Order: sequence, then structure tokens, then C-alpha cells
Amino acid sequence: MSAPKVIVISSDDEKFPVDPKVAEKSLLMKNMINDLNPDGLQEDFEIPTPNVRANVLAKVLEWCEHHKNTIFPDDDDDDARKSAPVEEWDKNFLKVDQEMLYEIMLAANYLNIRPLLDAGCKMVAEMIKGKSPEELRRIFNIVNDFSPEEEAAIRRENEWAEDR
Amino acid sequence: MAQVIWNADIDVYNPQVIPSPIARNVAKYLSIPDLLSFSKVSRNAYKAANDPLTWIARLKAMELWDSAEIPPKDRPLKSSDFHNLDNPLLCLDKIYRTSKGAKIQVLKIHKSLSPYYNDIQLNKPYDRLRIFKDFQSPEDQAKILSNLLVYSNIDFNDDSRTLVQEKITALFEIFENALLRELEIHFDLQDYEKTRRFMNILIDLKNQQTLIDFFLQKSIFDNEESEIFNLESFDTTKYFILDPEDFHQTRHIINEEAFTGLTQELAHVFNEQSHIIDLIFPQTVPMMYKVSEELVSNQLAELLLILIEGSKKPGLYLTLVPYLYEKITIDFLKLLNPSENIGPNYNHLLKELIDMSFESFVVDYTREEIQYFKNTTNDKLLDWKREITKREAETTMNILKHVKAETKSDFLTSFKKVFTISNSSGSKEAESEQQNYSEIQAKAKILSENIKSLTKIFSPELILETLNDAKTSLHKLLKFRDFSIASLKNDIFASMQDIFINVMDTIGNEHLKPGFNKGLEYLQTYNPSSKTYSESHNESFVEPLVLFFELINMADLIIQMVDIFYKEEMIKKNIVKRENSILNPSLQNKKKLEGLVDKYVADGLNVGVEVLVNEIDNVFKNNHTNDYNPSADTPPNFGPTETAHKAVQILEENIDLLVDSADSSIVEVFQQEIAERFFQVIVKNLKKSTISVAGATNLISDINLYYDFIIAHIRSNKRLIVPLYQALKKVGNIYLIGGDDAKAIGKLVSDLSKFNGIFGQEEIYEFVQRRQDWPIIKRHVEKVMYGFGLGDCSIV
Repeated sequence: MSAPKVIVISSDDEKFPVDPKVAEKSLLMKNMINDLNPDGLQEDFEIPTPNVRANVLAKVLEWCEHHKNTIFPDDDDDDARKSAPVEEWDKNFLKVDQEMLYEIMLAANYLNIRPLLDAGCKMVAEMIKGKSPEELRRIFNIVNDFSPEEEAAIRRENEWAEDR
Repeated sequence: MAQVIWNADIDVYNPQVIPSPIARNVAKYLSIPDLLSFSKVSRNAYKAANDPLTWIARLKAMELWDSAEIPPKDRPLKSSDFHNLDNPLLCLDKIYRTSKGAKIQVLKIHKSLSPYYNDIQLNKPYDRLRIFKDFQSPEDQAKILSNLLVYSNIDFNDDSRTLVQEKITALFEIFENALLRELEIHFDLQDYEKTRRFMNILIDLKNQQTLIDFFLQKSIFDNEESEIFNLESFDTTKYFILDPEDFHQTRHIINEEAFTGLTQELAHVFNEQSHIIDLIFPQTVPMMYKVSEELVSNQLAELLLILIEGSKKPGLYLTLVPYLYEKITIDFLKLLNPSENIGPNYNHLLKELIDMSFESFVVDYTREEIQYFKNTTNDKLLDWKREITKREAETTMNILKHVKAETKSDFLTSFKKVFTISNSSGSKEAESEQQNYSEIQAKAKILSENIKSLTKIFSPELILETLNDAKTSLHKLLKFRDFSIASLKNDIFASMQDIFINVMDTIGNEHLKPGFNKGLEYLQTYNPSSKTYSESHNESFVEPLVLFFELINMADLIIQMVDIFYKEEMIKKNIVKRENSILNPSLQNKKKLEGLVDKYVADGLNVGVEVLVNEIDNVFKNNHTNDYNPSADTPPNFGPTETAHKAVQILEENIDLLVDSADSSIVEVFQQEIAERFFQVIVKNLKKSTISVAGATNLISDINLYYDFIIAHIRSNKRLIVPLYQALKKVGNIYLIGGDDAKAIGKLVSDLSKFNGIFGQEEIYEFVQRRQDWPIIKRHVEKVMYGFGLGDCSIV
């Protein structure tokens, strides 16, 4: 019998069998596997991700597969993480439509895959550069949840410091 | 199969809003303008953008947060506290460490610097950049450039940040080169005020190393003014001159004037450098130390090498090294003006540098000095030994010259001659007697002459000279006592101990030991009762003893000199640390030397006592045995006998021999020994005599004479000595009792045996047997003693 697999199940019930090593790129899944199988994985193990769509999960697991042997800087080392430029492969990998990128980041945040989240955030920050709030809402599909009064107050708040 | 069950009710995200964790994460990577736009997108975005952590992260990125000032506790921060933030030059100078105020501080910095930051990104020639239009002074320009470089760290856009940082670095380089050119021009013009101005800007731009290199190059490598910078042509001849007091004009001495001049020049160079450095360098740049390091470890070290090498030919090496060291570490350092740049530690640091340069020289020198000292000391003492041997050989030769050639080949003749001379002085050979000796006579004469020169065996003068040599060497080595390299300093102290130990060894082995051996040898072979001595020489028999004691006195003097030397040089000057420790090798060796002398003193005394007692013994032997048994026709003679007078006279002459010349303890031992041995001689003699009742008065007078003499002369240990003579007095009584009163004699004998432990019963019995009438009274006395006489026994 081949080595036991981790079977990740998307919100639309699609099953993704992967090596434990791949699944463990997600700290959330890693902790689950270790907590429920203190003696090591003996048989296949199912993890449902009820808020990740199949096509997003496929992307995320592709990233995990690619990076299964990569060693990332320590989570606590904020500076190292921040200054590391986005890898070329990651850049290409994340060249998807805005909605998809956004969903990958949400999944990475939820599954606790810091390097992927960081890469995503850097890509987003790149996209944000020089855009107005309105443009940003449109690009990222975000609802303006301020009341008109709040919006006015916020505009005034930092006006003095803006140089454009 | 195992599986995880999810609670489907958890609303993990709402795609309509941007979830807070993501918003916060994105905010981390945004430049300030983008961050401000972002904050207007949605509530979560606003929250993320206003999170103090977001702003503190900016301050941290500029490395301002950790060194930020703690805000005053007694009042809230007012806008006036952030006044400096509005000034592009000062905005990074003061930051408060407050999370609430982090945002406003970053925004103010941004407001102040972003116009210049954006301007610098534009593609225009450097001279048209706003930073050079708005700021004219080099100080301001340097400052704004540094500030922009710091500010670039919160531009999280890789492209623009890299562009700006490269541009600023290029600008810095151009700017610094311009500043260095200005600096050099003003430095060369000796306009140190302006030099210092450019210096400060360059230091603010973190160019310390460049400036240090610049100054070293200018002031040392390119310096051609001073001789000490141009050592290729340095001439040592003037430093070592012929000694004007040396008649032969061969001995060289150190030209102190030249060295003082050199020291002054050296100090002048240091003072000059220090003066300029204090004018142009702030204390933050360790310039004077660097200059000192360079000057000492290169220029000075080379100078030392040249001088030390130069001193070898005129034979001044051992003099020069300590002299030079003292000159540099004391005189030179005294001549230095204080250096603001180094501060109060200037002399101390310089001393350490100098010691490092001196290290290898001192190692060599220490070794040479010890070797030299050991050699000269050994040579001197060996010379002395050779001289004595030579002198003795000459004496021998002179005497042997007079021994007739034929007597040498014919032993019988010479033997006969001895016989004739000793028996018939004033014979026909009398005229030549003074000139010609037999071999045996010659030997006696040689011995006698040698004994007379005993006092010349030791030479306190020579020892004094040796100790002075040691002192000189020690003083030279002591100049290195504060050497700052601990291991070498320890070696030097060990070397000083070495010298002292060597002095002890040499004095002991090469001087005292052979000297004493010689003295003892003479003393032992000397035989005062031999006819050759008593008749051909008129020295008193005690002379060799006195001479030997003089030898002891001299040895004692030497020991005292060594002791003073030890206390003055080794202890007072702290060469020896653990003064009384058995681990102190100097002390151990000194004690060894003292022990050596003590041993010889004891040996000498033994021989002396032996000689004296033999002499007294001879007096008894040579005199009539019937002193105490006068024949009936001799007129009664009261009082002590002539023999007793003679014996006491000899004692009288010699018992105080050592008083005032030796240790009181030695005197006591000597006198006590004589008293005991004299007692034994009396007893021995008594046991050989025959004593009549008539002679008993003489005997008792004699014993009284001895007793009085002992009481008068023995000063200590009377408890041990006096009972011996008291017992003798009692023994005398045995002979006084008339032979008809055998009962009284027997009773006295019995009482005496019980009286004290000086004599045993057997001995008393021996004494009573010496009675002239013993055969007659024997039976009666024994009867009283044992209850019956031997004659009472009969075989049944």
C-alpha cells in the first residue's frame, strides 16, 4: 500500500489527495494532522475546507506542491519577510485575475500559509500603487461600507499630508 | 478513514469586505500615499491603515523607533513637541516613542521629505535638483541626502526605492569627493578651522576610515620634515661617542645629549600631530590613537631597531636597551602635551604601544643581561681562586727553592737532618739552617705560610663587587618592572630572581666552600706539638685557630652583606613577592648559603676544640706524674701545681677567643664544649695518677683552681657544667683522709656513689684505687663498701 495521503476537500466537495508534506505548507493543516495523529499518519486523512472553492484550492495546492521543499524565513522575522522580493515563479503564479488573487489570499490567510499570503499582499500592494480609493474598490470588488459623513471625515483627516 | 468535521456556521470571510487580517497584511507593504488611499477604501482597510503597529513598523524601518525618546510622563505631547518634524533637515533628529503618535510623526516626516524624494526620482541633472536649490551649505546638503536615504527605507516600492538609493549613493560619492578636495585644500593651507568644518560633514556621512587614511597619509607617510620619518638615512654614530675620560680612547659611552635631543624631537612630532588633530578631529574619531599606533609600531619600532643594532658595535648594547626604554617610557611620555582626542588615557595607551614595540628587544636583552652577569661574576671569582692558588704555588716554590737538590733525591739524608736539627740546635749547620730546609721542614713551612694567609682566602671586597654588579644588573632589569605585557613582565621578575640565586650559588660554591675547605685542611694538618712547629716557628699554637675564626668572621660579614642586599634589593624593591614563603627561591638559596657557613663554623670549632684539648692533654702528659705523690724528701708544696697553672693558662688564653668575634650562641657552644672536654682530660689524667695523702692538698688546690676558672669563665649553661667540677671537688676528698681511717674512706666512697650521677660506682672505685696506700687499705675500705673484704671470703 502506498504512503497515506491527506485528502483536502473543497467547499464544492472536490477531493484533492496530496502528500502530507505538501499539505503541511499550511500551518492550519499541519497542526490538524499532528494533533489528530500524534503517532504519525497511518492512513488517508480527510480535511474539508468548506470556504475554499475547488479552483482556488487547486491553485493553492499547486503553490504548496511547488514550494514543498522551500525553506521560508522565520514567521517572526518580520524584516526578512518584508524585504524579500517576490520570487519570479510566484509572480507568474499570481498573475491571475483580481478576484482569483483575492480569493487565493483569503485561502492562504485562512489556511495559514504565510509565504503565499505575503507574496499575495506584495502583489496587491504593487497593484494599489498610485490608485484612488474608488479604483481600488472596483479592482478588488470591495463594497464602500462608510457612511457619507464618515467618508468625508476620513478624506479631511489626512488631507494635509497628501502631496498629490 | 479519518476526517475533520467543520462547523459550517463559521463565517470565515465575506467577499464583500476586505477581511481585516488581509487588510493589515497588505498595509504592511504600502508606501505612505498608497496607505492613505487604502484607508479610504473600506472600514476594514481604514482600521488596518490606522493601526499604530502599521506606523511603528515605518519608524522601525527607518531605524528611528528603537532610539526614540520616551515621551514625558507628566504631560501629554503637544504639537509643539513635533515642531522639528516640519523641517526636512531636522525631521529625523527627534522622535518620540509613542504608539498613539506614531502615525502623525511618520506623516509629518513624509510631508517634509516626500517633495525632495519625489524630485530626486525625476530625470534631471543633479545641479537642478531641489535639494541643491533649497540647501546651499554643504552641511545642509549632506544632511538632506542622509535624511532622504533613511526615508527611502519606507518606500516599499522596489523600483522607486532602488532608483532613489542608487541616485543618493552616487550623489554622496560626488559630494564626498568634493568635500575631501575642499578638506585637503584647507588642510594644506593649514586653515584648520575650515578643515574641521568639512571634517565634521564627512564624519556625519560616516567617512571616518577615509579621514583616518587621509590624515595618516598627509601627516606621516608624506611627511619629510622630521628625521624620524626618514630612517633610511638615519645615522647612529652621534649617539655613541668615545668616553672623554677614557685615556685609551677605545671605550664608548652613550651620548645622553643626543638621546635627549631625539626624545625631544619625538615628543615634538607627537605634540604637533596631537595639536592638529585636536583642531580638526572630534573625539569620536580615534585619530590620535591611530597616529600613535602608526608612529610607535612603525617609525619608533624601526628607530629602536636601528639604535639597538647600532649600539652593539661600540659595546653598549646592555647599557642602551634599559636606558632607551627608560628614556622613551618616562622622559618621552613626560614631554607629551595632553591629547583631547585620546583623553586622559593618552600616556597609558602610548605606554602599551611602546611596550609592544619593545617586547622582542626586551626578551633578547634580558637573556643577554643574565648571561653577561653570570659570566662576569664567575670570571671574577674564578680569577680570585686562581690568584690564591698561584700565590700558594709561589710560596711553595720559594720555600722549596731552598731545599737542597740532593736532599730531594735522598730521603734518608733529609730524615737525618731533621733528626739533627731537632736534637742539636746550634750545631755546625746552624748558619745555613735559615736558608735550607729539609723536605719535611719545607712542608711544615709551606703549611705555616699558608695558614698565615688564611685571611686572604675570602675577599669581602670581591663579594661586595659581585653584589654591586648584581645590583647594577637588577637595576637595569627593574626599569622594565611596569612592562604592560604580563607574560614578559613575569619573565623579567623571574630573571631578577635568577640573578640573585646565581649570586648565592657562586658565592657559596666558588668562594666560601673552597675557602673553608682550605682553612679546615690547614687546621687539621696543623700539629702544634710537633717539634718542627714549636721550634722552627714561633707562632703560638692558637694562631691558626684565631685565623680560622677570622675566616668565619669574614664569612659572616659576607653573609651579612648578602642579607642586606636581599633586604634592600630583593624585598624593598618588591622583586620577591612572597617574602617568607618556602616557595620563594631567593630566600631558599640565601638560607642555603647561611647554612653552608654555619656548617663550616661548626666543623671549624670542632677542629679548634680538638687542637686545644690535645694541647692541654699534652701539658698533663709531659709533666711529672708524681705531682700528687711527692717523695718524702720533697719540701711540702702547697697550692696548685705547676701543671695545673699551665693548663689553666692555656685555657685562659683561648676560652674567650670567640667572645666578641662570633655569635653569642657559637661562643656558648664553644666554651661549653671546652669545659666538658677539659673535665674529661682531668678525669683521664686523675685515673692515671697516684695520689698520696700529702699530694692530696695539691690535687684539691688544682681542682679548686679549675673549678674557680670554670665558674669565672662559663657564662651560660652553668647548670650543665658546674656539677661536673663540683663532683670533682668531692672526689678530691677521697685522698685527704688518712689511710688509718679506712672506715671513713669507705663511707665516703659509698656516699659519693650515691651522691650524684656524674660518676658511677665503678668510676669512684677507680678513683679510690689511685690512692698511694691502696694496697694496704684495700681490704678495710672494701669491707665498709661491700660489707666484707675480698679477703674475708674463703673456699670451704
